[in-house]
Amino acid sequence: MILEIISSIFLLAGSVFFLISSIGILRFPDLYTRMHAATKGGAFGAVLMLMGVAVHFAELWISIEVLLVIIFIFLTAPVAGHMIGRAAYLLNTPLWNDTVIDEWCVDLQHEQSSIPSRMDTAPSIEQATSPSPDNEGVQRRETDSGHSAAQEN
Amino acid sequence: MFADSTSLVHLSATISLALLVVALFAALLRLMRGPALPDRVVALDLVSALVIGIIAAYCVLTGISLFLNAAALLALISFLGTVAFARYLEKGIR
Repeated sequence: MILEIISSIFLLAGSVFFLISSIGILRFPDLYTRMHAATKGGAFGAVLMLMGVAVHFAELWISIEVLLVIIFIFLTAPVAGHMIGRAAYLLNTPLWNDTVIDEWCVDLQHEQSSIPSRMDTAPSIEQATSPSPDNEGVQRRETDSGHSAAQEN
Repeated sequence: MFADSTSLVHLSATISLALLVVALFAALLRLMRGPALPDRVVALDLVSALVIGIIAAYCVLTGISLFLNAAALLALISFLGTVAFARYLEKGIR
């Protein structure tokens, strides 16, 4: 009976987290805030519901499998969210008008002060084949992407 | 099919299935009308997490623990798909 109550609480809490995160993905004004709702709320809701399943069955192998899935979700959800956010920022997805701070814009402008736009990193082949020794990180990224573009052509 | 239809776990699993279906419709609405492609990728990630939750609730509802393998595989495949979409968005715009 006590297992039933605990399992019910886990299942209902997980589904409420899912509902809140999908309301967030529907109502937030911006891609980045939407991603903040979807990634964290979705991962935590899935983990809570899987814990409800483990408490409901109360067997060893099911608990081990649920634990593996939970560890996998907690390892991969931040990586996936980070990669989507980085790709969206490099695609010039617009930020919300009331965004307070944009740190990566400042960093990119500080690294390559000759280029005013934050997206204007599309390299030419000359830049890619002749790396200058001063700004190391930026030039490495440009040679990487320029090399792939040259391979495509 | 369902083990005992009057227990507390059965009732809460049914309620959470209903909530998950509402959440799934909200995520699919964002998937349809997302302004850009990254919005759709984020919505697709949330849809796969919601399907993991639906599998968990259905597992409790039917008493068959074999569906957890499907949940594990879906977590793996959704991560691979999200990473592939992000790589494609970052590299393939030129």
